[in-house]
Amino acid sequence: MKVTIKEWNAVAAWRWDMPDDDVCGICRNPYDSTCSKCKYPGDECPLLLGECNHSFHMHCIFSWLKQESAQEKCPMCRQPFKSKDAVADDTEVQGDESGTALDTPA
Amino acid sequence: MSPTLKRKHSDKTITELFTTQHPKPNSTAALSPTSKRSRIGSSEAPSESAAMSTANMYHFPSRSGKEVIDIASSPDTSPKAPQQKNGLRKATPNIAGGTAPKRMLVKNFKPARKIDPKAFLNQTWEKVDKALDTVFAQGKIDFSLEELYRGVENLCRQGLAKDTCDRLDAKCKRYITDTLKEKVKETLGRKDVDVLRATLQAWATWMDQMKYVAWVFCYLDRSYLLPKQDSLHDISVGLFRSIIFEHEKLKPHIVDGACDLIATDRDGKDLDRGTFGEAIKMFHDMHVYTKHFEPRMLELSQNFIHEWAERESSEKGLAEYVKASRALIKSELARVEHFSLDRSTRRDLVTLLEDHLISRKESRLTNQDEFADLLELNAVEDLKSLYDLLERRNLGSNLKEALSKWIEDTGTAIVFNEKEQDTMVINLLTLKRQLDTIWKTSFHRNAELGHGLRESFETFMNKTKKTSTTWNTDNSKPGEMIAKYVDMLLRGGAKAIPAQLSRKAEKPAAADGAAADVEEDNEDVMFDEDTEVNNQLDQVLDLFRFVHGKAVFEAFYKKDLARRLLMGRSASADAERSMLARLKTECGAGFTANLEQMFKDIELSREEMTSYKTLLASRDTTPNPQPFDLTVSILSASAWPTYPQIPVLIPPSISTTLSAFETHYASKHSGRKLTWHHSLAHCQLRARFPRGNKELIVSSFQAIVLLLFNTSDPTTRIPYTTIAESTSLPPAELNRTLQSLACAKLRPLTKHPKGREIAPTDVFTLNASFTDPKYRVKINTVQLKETPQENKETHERVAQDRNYETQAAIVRIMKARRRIGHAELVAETIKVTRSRGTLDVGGIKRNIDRLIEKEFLERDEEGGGGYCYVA
Repeated sequence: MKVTIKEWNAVAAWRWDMPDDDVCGICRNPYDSTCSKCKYPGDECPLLLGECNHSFHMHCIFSWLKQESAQEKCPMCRQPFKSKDAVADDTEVQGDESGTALDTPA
Repeated sequence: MSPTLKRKHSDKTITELFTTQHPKPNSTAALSPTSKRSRIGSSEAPSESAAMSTANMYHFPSRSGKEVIDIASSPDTSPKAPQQKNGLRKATPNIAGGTAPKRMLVKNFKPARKIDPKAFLNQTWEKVDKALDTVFAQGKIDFSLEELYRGVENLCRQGLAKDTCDRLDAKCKRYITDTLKEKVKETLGRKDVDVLRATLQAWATWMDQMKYVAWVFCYLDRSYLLPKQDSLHDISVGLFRSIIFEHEKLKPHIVDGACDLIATDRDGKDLDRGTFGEAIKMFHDMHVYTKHFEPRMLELSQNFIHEWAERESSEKGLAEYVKASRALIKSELARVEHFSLDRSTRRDLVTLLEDHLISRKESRLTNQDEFADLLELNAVEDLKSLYDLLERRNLGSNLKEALSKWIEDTGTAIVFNEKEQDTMVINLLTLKRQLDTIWKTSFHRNAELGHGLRESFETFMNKTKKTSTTWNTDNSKPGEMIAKYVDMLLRGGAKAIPAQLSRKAEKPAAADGAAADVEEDNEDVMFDEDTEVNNQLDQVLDLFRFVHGKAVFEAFYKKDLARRLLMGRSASADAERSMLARLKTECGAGFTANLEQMFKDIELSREEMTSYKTLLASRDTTPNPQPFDLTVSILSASAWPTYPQIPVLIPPSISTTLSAFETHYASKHSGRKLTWHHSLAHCQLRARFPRGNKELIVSSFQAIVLLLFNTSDPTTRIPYTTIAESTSLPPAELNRTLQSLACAKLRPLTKHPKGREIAPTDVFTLNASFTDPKYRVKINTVQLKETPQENKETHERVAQDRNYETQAAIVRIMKARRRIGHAELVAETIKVTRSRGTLDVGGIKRNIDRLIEKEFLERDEEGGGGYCYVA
């Protein structure tokens, strides 16, 4: 007898690539959860990783950066906050809808 | 008498004067004495000439104070004329002389007064009396009625009307008393009906005879009685009434005689319709219907109805009683209708009937047990009768209690029937449909009953009991079963609809199909299937609406939806979407957000795979292009149900392909990590069996096990332990997988020794004789089925979630109120959490304790029994 696989329907769940027990430095919610304003975790409430390797819920850090007193610094290390990866930033912000754009470095 | 005559005479003189002034018209009047008009005209003229007031002119008969109205304008009739034969008017000699202006008419009158009126009366009456005797004796009428009429007329004109009338009265009285009454009295010893018959006989005779009397005494009737608001007819009826009917011995028998006739009819024997009709007519004619007959009849009717109701209600069952009551009411009213009895009789009789049959028997009619029996039998018609009967008295709504009780009992029995959990929803739907039909047709959509129906549905649907079926959580089982039923519908489509529920929907559909063109038949079927599924979904949602704790439903629905989406088992995407839309309108967007996310994930995954495949195709330099077709469903973990990670060793051929995709995904979405859920994966295998090639649709675990047998030797024996090692599946999972492959209906593997249960000592070989009529064989049903373990987990998670939700609700309430009493807090909490499922008071208390431990609240020391929010 010979068995060959013709089709494989796999199932995978994605999550943010962060340590399990870590929380957002601003809202203290887990990264897998949402910022304090959103209701449902997922694409709608992405994470943002700074050059200083501190990451936050995008909504959290944006509202922080908008404040005058923040002076566009990371709230954790006081270095000027810059998103680590512009491309990743875009993808994250736009979510999976940008999946059709073949901009992936091969 | 004499002044009257005098005045009359003076009247005459005026006319006389006039006559001399205008001889011409008067002469014509004199020549033709029958021409009344000219006479009236002649009497008008003198009044003008005499300058009489118009009032006088029109009232001259009353002014003259006479008791007789001279309808024949009598001024020139002379009272002296004694002969009745020729008639006075013709005989008046003065008229003959009217043409001669110089005639002395006054002379002519004087001798007329010489005749004594008394003698005249006696003389005339003698004749009349004789005639009356003949009439009363029913003898042959051999005399001239006209002559008699004239005689009476003359008497009246002589002012002897009163005497005549008195004599007639006395005569009739004597006749009735002596003859008619005796006849009736003879029957006294016999039955009441006979008395009535005799009375009717006498009445008929009397009426017949009175015809003659009326003819003869017509003048008296018109001129003497009419102005007194009386009439000969009234007198005759009155005499009969007072002498015969109102005789104290006769009256009760006569009336009872009529009532007896009704009683006979009620007993179901033949009614003497003629007699009864005549009797009613007689009562009406005698004006005794309302006063004497009606009360007695109603009294007897009341007795009858009362006894009837007592007897029937104790002897018969509810349905028969209702039927009999309706029949009784109908027959009673038909009788009233037929003999056109009075409206008042009808009204009173209806009141009587309703009072005795309905109002007083209300408790009997709304009897819990028997009503329940009718509902049990689904006796739509009987229920309709019952309701209609009660509704005569606006008591239909009183069925509510019994109805609610029955629904609750029946519903609770269905819900807590642990043996038939699987058919619970079907039973509930059947019950609902049955009740809806009853409500619509039998109860005429009574608002109150409809309300009661829904209320009691709500009550029993939300009864919870900690049973083994819900793993000792107090989750509502209906919620779960409804979710499963919906899953079945969405997976199976119209075919999955149970026969007993779809039958009704099919009938109109079939009718439609027959009506439609044959060419469109195919489309119709398609359309009908969709409609039918939608119909079913609507009905299920009707049930769902009753469920308070939507959390259980949501949990199971989500699980089932996930399975349908991942395994591609939805019968129709449209149905899925319409169900989602329904849930959205039913429970709000919050309820369906996760479900929508699931649909979105599947959509995105599809796009992702398309782009991935395009990418692979453009890079066909790869030495090993995908050996098989890969589809990955990428889920957002939070929206989907949680799945346990089951460790499994994936064969390298698959894992390389998977990791290739994983790399691709990671590079495309930085910051994301994929976790494989192999337990949810399924695949198609091409298998070459000795007895033919097959395509197998199996779960990933099954595939992995089957791949182990992928050798050229068909007799390879692989022991259980080896399989366990090479797949590293946990025993429970492995057992299930092997069982599905070797012990189910389709067996690609053979177990040694044979048996249903998998033991670690078993050895497996390929089933060389595996075959199936179909080319594609699905063996992954195990994967689709929910294990008891999963069911338990879902239940427990729902119960757990409810605790969290309750805590969240408590905190929200406390945050708003700061300080609150215990009872109030519990009440508020129940109110807030109702839509998702409420904990019992004990549960709420436990959660309050837990929050106090976590220092969200503290006990209010001052208020006593209250709580404070700790910020």
